[in-house]
Amino acid sequence: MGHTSPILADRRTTSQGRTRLAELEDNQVVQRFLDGEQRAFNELVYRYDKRLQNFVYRTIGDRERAEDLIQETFVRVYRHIHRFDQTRKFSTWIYTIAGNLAKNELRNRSRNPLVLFQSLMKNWEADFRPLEWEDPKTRPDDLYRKRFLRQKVDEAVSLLSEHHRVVFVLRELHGKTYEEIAEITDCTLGTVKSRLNRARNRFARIIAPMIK
Amino acid sequence: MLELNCRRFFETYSDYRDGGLGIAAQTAVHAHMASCEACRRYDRVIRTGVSVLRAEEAPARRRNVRLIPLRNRAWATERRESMALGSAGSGIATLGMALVAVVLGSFAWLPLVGAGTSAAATPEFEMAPVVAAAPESPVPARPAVGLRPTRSTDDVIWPPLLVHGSSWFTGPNTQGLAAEVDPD
Repeated sequence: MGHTSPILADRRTTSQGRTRLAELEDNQVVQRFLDGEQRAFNELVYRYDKRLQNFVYRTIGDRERAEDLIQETFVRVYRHIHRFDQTRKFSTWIYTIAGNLAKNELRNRSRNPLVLFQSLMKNWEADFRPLEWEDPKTRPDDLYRKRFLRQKVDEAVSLLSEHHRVVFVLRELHGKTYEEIAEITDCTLGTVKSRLNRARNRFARIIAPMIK
Repeated sequence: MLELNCRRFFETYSDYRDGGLGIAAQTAVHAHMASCEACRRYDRVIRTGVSVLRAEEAPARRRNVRLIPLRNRAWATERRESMALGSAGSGIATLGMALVAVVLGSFAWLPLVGAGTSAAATPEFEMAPVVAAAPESPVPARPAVGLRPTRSTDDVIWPPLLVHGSSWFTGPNTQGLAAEVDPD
């Protein structure tokens, strides 16, 4: 039978009889926000915060700066959401904004190169953190190997060229389709495929010595 | 069955990993990996590397951790934009006012500027003096209409609209307007 139990129906709707925001598609949440429901924007932030954080961090390699750029992304979304074409996917739109901000950041950085204090500290932590602070149940050589592998994998991603890195991160970590990646990065499907293939090859070549 | 060599394997690996191959091609990739240690290792390296990356992803935060600073920043941006628009608007308004002032000023100065050049062309008329006769009786006082000066608030005379209600004004007989003169 296709009936929904009253309890389930209650859980799915608010007291005003509207479907709960968490159960709506992105575009429906956007529409709710445009209809004047301010809470709908909070829902969008909650849905995309972590994903964008990982995407931008992987693209620019600096968590602190990635935080700023994500905030900027959400502010831009907030201010221009009325311009969003609702026949498209919201996730593609927000990733495009974040990706463009990350690209600008990398461009600015290449104009004004500087050594980031955070990256120095990251290396310091990896090299000099005493082993006795680690979980005693795990063997130190295992820990060392895992930490080393993690570091190398991070390094491998950062060694990819910007074009390859963005495509690789979007596909492998965010599960975007080729079409979505093409739209976010503003290039053709063929370009996406070849970049992804090269990125994977390069990534594998860098980390291969660390993996049995 | 379709057979692959290592080179062909590398070319199709991305499609294989992304699920873009048909069943026959997929079977061929599996068969090749089963027989080739290097290609099997390649697949293992990619999978392990990606799983390490995924395990490292940032944890989700509580909602307010992001929302509060974001809201503050959105407000600040809005305020900054509106101030910028306001100052641009006031700049334009000032410029417009200055322009109007210049135009009006130039009109005001026009007769004086033109006096030197066209004074001779301006005709002059001599008017006959007007002689008025003295009035025979004093001018009668006009009745006061509406508000009149009063000494205390008790003497305030309300305008007709408020004394007689709005229907008076909007009613069909607007002739009554003349009759609503202060009875004094």
